[in-house]
Amino acid sequence: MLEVCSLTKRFNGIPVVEDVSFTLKPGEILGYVGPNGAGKTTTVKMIIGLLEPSEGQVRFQGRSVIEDLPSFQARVGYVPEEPQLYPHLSGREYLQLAGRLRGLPRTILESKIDELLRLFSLWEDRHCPVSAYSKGMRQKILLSAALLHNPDLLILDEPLSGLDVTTALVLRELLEGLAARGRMILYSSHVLDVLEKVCSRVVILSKGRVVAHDSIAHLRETMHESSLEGIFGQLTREQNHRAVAADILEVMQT
Amino acid sequence: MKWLEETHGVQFELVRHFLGRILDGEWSSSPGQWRPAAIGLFSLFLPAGLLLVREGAMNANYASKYLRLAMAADRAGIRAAAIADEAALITLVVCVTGLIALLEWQSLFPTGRDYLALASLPVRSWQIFTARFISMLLFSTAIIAAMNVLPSLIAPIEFGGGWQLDSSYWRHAGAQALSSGLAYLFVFFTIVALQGVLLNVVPASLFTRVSVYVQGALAGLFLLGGFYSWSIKEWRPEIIARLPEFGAWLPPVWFTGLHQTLTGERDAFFTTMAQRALIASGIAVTLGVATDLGIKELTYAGAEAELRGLSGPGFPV
Repeated sequence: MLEVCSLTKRFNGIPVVEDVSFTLKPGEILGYVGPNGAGKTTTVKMIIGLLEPSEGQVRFQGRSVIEDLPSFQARVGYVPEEPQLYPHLSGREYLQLAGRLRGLPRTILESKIDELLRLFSLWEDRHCPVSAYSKGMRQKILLSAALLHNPDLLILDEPLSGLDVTTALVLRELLEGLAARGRMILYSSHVLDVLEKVCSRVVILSKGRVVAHDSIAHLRETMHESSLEGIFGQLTREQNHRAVAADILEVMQT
Repeated sequence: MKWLEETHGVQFELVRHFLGRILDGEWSSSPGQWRPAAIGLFSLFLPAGLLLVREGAMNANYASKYLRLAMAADRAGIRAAAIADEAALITLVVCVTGLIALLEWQSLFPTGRDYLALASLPVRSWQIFTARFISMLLFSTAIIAAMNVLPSLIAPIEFGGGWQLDSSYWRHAGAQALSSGLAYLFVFFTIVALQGVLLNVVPASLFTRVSVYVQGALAGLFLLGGFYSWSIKEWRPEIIARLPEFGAWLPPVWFTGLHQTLTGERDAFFTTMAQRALIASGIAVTLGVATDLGIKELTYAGAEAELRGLSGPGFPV
């Protein structure tokens, strides 16, 4: 189980994430939702150990992840929001590097890489440098790298970014399959319709604070809203999108 | 070779990764498989070429310099010619080494790109630093060997003659290898130390600019030195006699002194120069290692800032 306990991050004294707590159990897909700048990516980076929390801690299987970060990272698959890859490596070479650094034996690694490259339709471009890849292709490489070692915990930060419709559908099915096999999945995104379909529970974040943490069904019931979008709008008090669109049209025409 | 294909520990895999890409710095826009080979060949043949060209020179005076001096029984002339040739060779080794180290400038230390690309993997930042350092050491050792093979084998024959105090071929070959090798280590680690000092001392926002100025100045120095080395071999005995006046603080002269001492020369000046060469090499290696180990820890935030142009490599924010 993943336990996020009172996680807080301040940059130059300004809180970006404040007192965020939630748990993620085996077999569960937890949605982590919030508008732009709410602190989703900062939370994810603190969980994975890339940023040090100002306060609070992250526990995995009962142990603080800071105690042995490499062991924790070895059991995690992470797809970052912004793909940062070596531009001069080919997709295949990057997967080889990731697999080797995760200690996968060569024969197993090579066959897994070949299969994943075929399944993600990257086989033809496997020897091209990553710098020549489209955003979606880079995202597929990151997804493949996150899945190579069959992780216990999968952390996805805007995983659909740049993906085509087919791959997005494959990913949705894949996540459900992984959850059925007892894997834990933290799905951070602001694409609400996908989250609504795949997540059993959601944590809604607004201005760095958790404003809701419940199952989608229960939130619908208690807030009398039929969709996650309506719940999200109520909780985050986002601007009236229709009014904003009308204002933009007016600005364009003046 | 089968063993090499297998997966080993994190440190080994990182060294494998960095070693394979050591010349792919930010100055390069695409993967260049030709660069290591081109620079390797350049390093291998250039110092040897100095000797080979002279032997095969169209100028008869050049080609038969030692023969003429030997026939004239000009022992002092032969000694001076051999010292001048050795100084020219060491100067060329020093300059080629310096230029190679400058080409590798971007690869000497990990960058934000390394940290971000490896961020989601079970790798610690000290492992990235250590792997970069080990790969750099392995690479430099390979180049030392490549640069020294031909000069070490050819120089003893080239400089051989009745003037030698010890005519053992292998002693001369060993002295040549050691003096050139230490000259290489001295220059390479001095540049490593220099970059390490810049990383630790220069404000992050100024690092890239200062680094470009330093690289430019050093590249000019090494290029001029490399060209000048071709005229050193023409030094006459009277210039060699004045070496203590103008050359005591020139690094190539230190390593020439080391070579002379190792081949049996008892001149006090060369003995002092040999000591200076050993001390300088030791200091350069120590400083290079110390600055590498003492460098500020790379952090994710620092790496992100570096890629956005807000700081220099490896700087926390």
